Amino acid sequence: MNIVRESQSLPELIAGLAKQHGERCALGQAQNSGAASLSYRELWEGVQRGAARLGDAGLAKGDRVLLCLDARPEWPEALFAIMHAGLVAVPVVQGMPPEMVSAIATHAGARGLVGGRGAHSELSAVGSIEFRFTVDELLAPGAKAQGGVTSARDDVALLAFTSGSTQQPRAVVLTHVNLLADLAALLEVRDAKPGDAFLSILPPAHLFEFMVGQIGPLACGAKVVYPGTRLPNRLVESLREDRITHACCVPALLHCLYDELLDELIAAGVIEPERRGQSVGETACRLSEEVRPGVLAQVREGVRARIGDSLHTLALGGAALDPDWPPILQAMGIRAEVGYGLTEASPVVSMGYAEECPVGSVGRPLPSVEVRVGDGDELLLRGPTVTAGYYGDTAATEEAFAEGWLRTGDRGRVDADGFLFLTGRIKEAMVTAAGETIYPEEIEPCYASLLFAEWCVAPRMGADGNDLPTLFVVPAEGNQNGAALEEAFVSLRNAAPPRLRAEGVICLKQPLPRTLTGKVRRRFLAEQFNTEHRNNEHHDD
Amino acid sequence: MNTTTIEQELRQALTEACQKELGPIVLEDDLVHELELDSMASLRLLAVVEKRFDIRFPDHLLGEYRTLQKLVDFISTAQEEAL
Repeated sequence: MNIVRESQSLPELIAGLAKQHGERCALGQAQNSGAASLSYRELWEGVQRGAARLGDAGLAKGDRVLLCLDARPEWPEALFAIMHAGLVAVPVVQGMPPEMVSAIATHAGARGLVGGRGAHSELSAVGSIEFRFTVDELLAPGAKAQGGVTSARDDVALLAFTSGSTQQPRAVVLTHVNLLADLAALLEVRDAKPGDAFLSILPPAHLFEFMVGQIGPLACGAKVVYPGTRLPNRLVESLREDRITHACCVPALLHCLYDELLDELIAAGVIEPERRGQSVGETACRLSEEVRPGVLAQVREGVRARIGDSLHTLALGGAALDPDWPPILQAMGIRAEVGYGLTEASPVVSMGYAEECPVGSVGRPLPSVEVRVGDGDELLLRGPTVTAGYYGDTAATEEAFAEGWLRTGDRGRVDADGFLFLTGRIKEAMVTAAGETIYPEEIEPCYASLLFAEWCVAPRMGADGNDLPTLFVVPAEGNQNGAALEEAFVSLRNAAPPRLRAEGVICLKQPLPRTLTGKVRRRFLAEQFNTEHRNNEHHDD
Repeated sequence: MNTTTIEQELRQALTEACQKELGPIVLEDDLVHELELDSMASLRLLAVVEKRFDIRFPDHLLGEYRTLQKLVDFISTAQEEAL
C-alpha cells in the first residue's frame, strides 16, 4: 500500500507495481475466449510504448484524448499510456448514443482519439480531433520505450463524464492525487491479495468499476479478468472456470446467482416449485427464519458446484440499498460489499462488508473522506478525493460547492458508530399539494407486500403542478389480478401514517428501470409516465 | 432435432423464463417488443436458451436474436455443426 501513497501519478504506480509483481498476471480475458493475458511487466511496457507513440504524434501535455474501447485488457493499458504521455484521458462508456459521444468530445475539446477497430464515424464531425489511433496501433510492439512525461500529483489525470436523464453531461476533473487518495483509502478497508481474480463486468469507463474493479485489484497484485460477454450464464461460467474471487456485481449476475440458489432451495424442499416467482425479500426472510443449518450447508454446496468455490466477495454498489441481497448472497457463502460513491469523489466515499454493517448502511466513510450532514440532511464531502470542479463549467462548479464542501445531492445520516445511511436524493424530493416535502425512501417501506415483486414511489404530476407520490409496482408471479393488487395497496395505504400515504398505484408490466449498478431510476420512471399521460390526454382531446 | 421440435422446445423454454404464454407470437414477431423485455430480461432470455440447447451465441451479435425464427435457425445450424 505504501507504493500507492508514494506514487506521484497512476503511471508511476503501474511502474512500481511492475517492479513488485513482474511476471504475475495483471490483466486477462475469460479462459473460454482464448485471448492472451498481460503480466504486470507487459502492462508497463505497453504503457510506455503507447505513451511514446502519443508523444511522437505531436500531442502535448494537457491535451485531452478520448478512449472509446470495449472492456478488454488493452483498456487500462491504453488509459495509462494516455496518462503517461502527460495527457488527460476522457474515457467513454461503450454503447453510449453517438450524439452523446460527439457532445463529450466537443465539450472536452479532445485532440486525440484511441478507439477499437470501428470507424467512430460519429466523431468525424468533431473538428478538434487531429490524432486517431486504433488501440492495436497504439500498443503494437516495436516502439522505443521512452520515459514518458512526469506528471505532478495535481495534474489532471482524467475527465469523467456524468450524465443524468435530463441534463447535459458534465465533465468531472480528477487529478492523480484525487484518484490515488481514493485508492489508498479503499485499500485500507478491503482485503484483496496477489492470487485473487476480479471479474470486471461493468464498463471499464464507469468510474466505480475503474477504481474498485480494476486499479484497486491491480494495486493489490491481483488479476483483472474481462469476461468478453454480457450473458449472465457465461458470467457464472467465468466465475467457475477463471476461479474468480471478487466482482462488482450487476443486477443480471445477481439474478442469475439467485436463480442458482432457488434451484437448490427447491431441490432441498425449502421452497415449493410453484413459489419460484416469489419476491427476493420473501426468500431472504425464509432463509433467515426457517432453514436448518444442515440444509443450508447442503444448499450452499449445491450452488458452489455450479458457480465454483473461489468467489467470496461481490461489491453491490447501487443495489446495496436493497437489504434483501446480502442474506441471499450469504446463503451462497458470498460476502456482500456495500458502498456509496459519486464521480465527484473519485468515486468511493464509503465501503464495508454487509455482515459488519447495520442493515441498510453503506459502510463507514473511507479514512480520507470527511462527511458532514448539512442543510436538509444533505451529505457534504471534503478531502483529497474530492474534485476541484467541472471542466469548462464555472457555474456548475460554484453550485456544487458550499464553503469548500462538495454538495452530493444525496440525503443521509451518520449513526453514533460512524456508519453512513442514505435516505434519498434531494432531486427526488416530492412536494405535495399540502406543501409538504416527502422523499420516496420514506414512503416505500410502508408498501412491502408478497403480491409485489418490486415496487418504488415516484411522483405523478398533479392538476396544480404539485407532486402526487405514486406507488409503481411489478406484481409477483401469479399475482396479476388487478383487483387483488388494488386491495393490497388500499390496505397498506390505510395502515401507513397519513403523511406517508401514496396517492395511487400503477402496475408495471416490465421490471423497474435501473441504472447499471442497480439503482432504481425513479425520476426516469416518473418522467416517462407523466409524458405518456400528457400525450394520451392530448390524443383524447 | 428438427425445426418443429426446436420451435416447440423453444416456446416452452421462453414461456417458463418469461412466465408468460407465448401462444399468439408467430415466428417473425419481435420478442423484445411482444414480451416487453428490457435489456436485462433480454440477456436472461438468451442465457436460458443457451443453457437449454447447449449452444453459444456470438457475443457481438446478441442483439440480432430477437425472433423465434432467428433463434430456431441458429439452434438448428449449431446442432448440425455439432454432429
